[in-house]
Amino acid sequence: MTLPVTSILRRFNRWAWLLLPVLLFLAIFFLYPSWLILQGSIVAPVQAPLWGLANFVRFFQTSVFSQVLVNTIRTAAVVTLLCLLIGYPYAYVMNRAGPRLMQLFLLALLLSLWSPLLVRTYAWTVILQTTGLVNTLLLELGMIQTPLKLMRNLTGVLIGMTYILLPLMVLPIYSVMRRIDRELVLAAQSLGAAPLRAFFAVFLPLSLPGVYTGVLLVFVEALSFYITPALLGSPRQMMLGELTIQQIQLTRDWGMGSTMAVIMLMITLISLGLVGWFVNFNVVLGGRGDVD
Amino acid sequence: MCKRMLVIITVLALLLAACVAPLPPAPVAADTAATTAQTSAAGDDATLTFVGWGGAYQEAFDKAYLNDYTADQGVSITVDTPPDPAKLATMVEAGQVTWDVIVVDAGTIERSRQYLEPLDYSVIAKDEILPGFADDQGVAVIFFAAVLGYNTETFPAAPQSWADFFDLEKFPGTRTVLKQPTPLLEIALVADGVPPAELYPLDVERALRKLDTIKDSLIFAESGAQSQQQLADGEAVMGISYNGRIQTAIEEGAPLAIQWNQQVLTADYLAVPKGAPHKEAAMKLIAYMTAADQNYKISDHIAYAPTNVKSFDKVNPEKGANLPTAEGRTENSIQISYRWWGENFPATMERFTQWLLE
Repeated sequence: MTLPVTSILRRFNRWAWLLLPVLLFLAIFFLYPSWLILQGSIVAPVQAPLWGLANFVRFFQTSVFSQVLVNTIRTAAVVTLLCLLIGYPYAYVMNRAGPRLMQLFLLALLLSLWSPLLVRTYAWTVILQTTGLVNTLLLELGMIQTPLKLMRNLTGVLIGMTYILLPLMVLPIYSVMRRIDRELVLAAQSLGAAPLRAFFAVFLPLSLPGVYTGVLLVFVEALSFYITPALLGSPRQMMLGELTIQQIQLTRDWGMGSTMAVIMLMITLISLGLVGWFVNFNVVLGGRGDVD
Repeated sequence: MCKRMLVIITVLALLLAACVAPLPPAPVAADTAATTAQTSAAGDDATLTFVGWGGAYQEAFDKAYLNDYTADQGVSITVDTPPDPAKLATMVEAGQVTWDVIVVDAGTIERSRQYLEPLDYSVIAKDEILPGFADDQGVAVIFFAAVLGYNTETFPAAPQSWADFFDLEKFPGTRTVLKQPTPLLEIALVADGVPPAELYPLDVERALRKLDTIKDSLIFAESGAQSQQQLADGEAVMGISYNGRIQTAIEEGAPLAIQWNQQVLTADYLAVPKGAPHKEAAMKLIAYMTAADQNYKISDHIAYAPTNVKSFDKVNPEKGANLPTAEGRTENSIQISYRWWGENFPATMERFTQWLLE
């Protein structure tokens, strides 16, 4: 496993001190609050000893909480898979297209990325609801007799989340695909491989770092979603983010809220570690893949 | 090579920036902008921060009370939203209170007593407020109600009570309810035959079993605004929502009507956070808003009723027809016991969440 930190430092050791202001900012506004949250999660509720893992135990013992956790991970995984299935071909087409077409594809992606999350989610409400665009169209055309239930169920959540997270999958994959030398694929073909074989043997493996990064980004983002599942799904699709908000704002159990936040952070860090095992982050961050 | 790197880094930086931005912690319907609503008259240095629910609600409050108060007293009022109880707690605990007057519900008062100042009833007219609605740390300023809203095109024969809300044969169709345990559980029990006076302690399991009978026809709203939209769009043909919201939808042309029978009469209270920077001025503002001469004015701008009994007859009769406190409407009303909820909220919320997931 490569440690990007050492390679970065080796390359930029003269300039490392420039990072100081940023690191200070992060320390004050990110690390310290994160530490407070971590503290909050291990400070037990009133009836238990002063500090300990009581909150975590209670979390996993409460069926509601564990159910929601499982649902969160499962939804995030499915969304990641869908993003991959749609995103990889999208990135591939972008890569092979001429400059103007590529820019069009990129623009479509970035416009979506730059629109506020709430607006994008509500837009899907308008499209998918019983009296919405899709159903009205299909009813008018006579293709269906009763409205389709496209929202307030898992379908709606998957559609909404996949759409919102697609740019996060496409952009890392595309950025890696860009740097794959087309000559390599041609070389494979000139050595006798059929185009499809050349793709699977040469192109695909080289694009994998982008795939792993995209998968990581999408999965981690999807874990923390709560507005989109709340608006596009039924309560059965409730995710951990919503429960955390509920604990902090309604039940006012900051200990449990912090615990949920820490659990989400743990899952994120584990995912990061797993992907880091396979991927040299240097390649994706724009450096040269050969530096180690 | 350098140019490529630059492009890729820019793209990824934008990507990361966009990652951080779209996940606001605030609930859907609340907007977290603080806006300065008034300008002060020359010479006076008093300023106040008023925290309400934003949107149409705040507009109505501005027109009914705050604008006139500023004009009369020369006090400049800054408006903030939402009155998040968690934020209140944090502020008071950190000793950095920036709010002076906040709008809260009775449940929040029950659960946040240590964060609120006792009200100064030497300036606020406690005796004139409807009995039961003047608390040590909060005084009711307006009444509204959670009511049964229904689509008049789908149901020319109106539903008469909460029992009808649960009657899928006579009144088939999707219903919308707010995704909160109260007043949903109370309504379910009343529909199941429990007299309003005997609701507490709540038989949560019985309420949930009653709700199970219509669960497949239920859709949930995160906020009053969302349930209003769902009724107006026709996504739901019946719903539990706030009378002010449904009234707004009706005025905008939606074919809706309100069934007032068995309304859940609720009040919004004014309170002062502990350690508020302008405590005295805050008490004066609250006294102004709840005084007989001013309290009724809210009904001119939104379908909320005054709480000062001496103010009732000052209400414009046209507007009065849309108020929960109109003649005869409060007869069968359901009263929420915030004391019970203060003690039982966490456990009930957990059970309710479990039911939602089933």
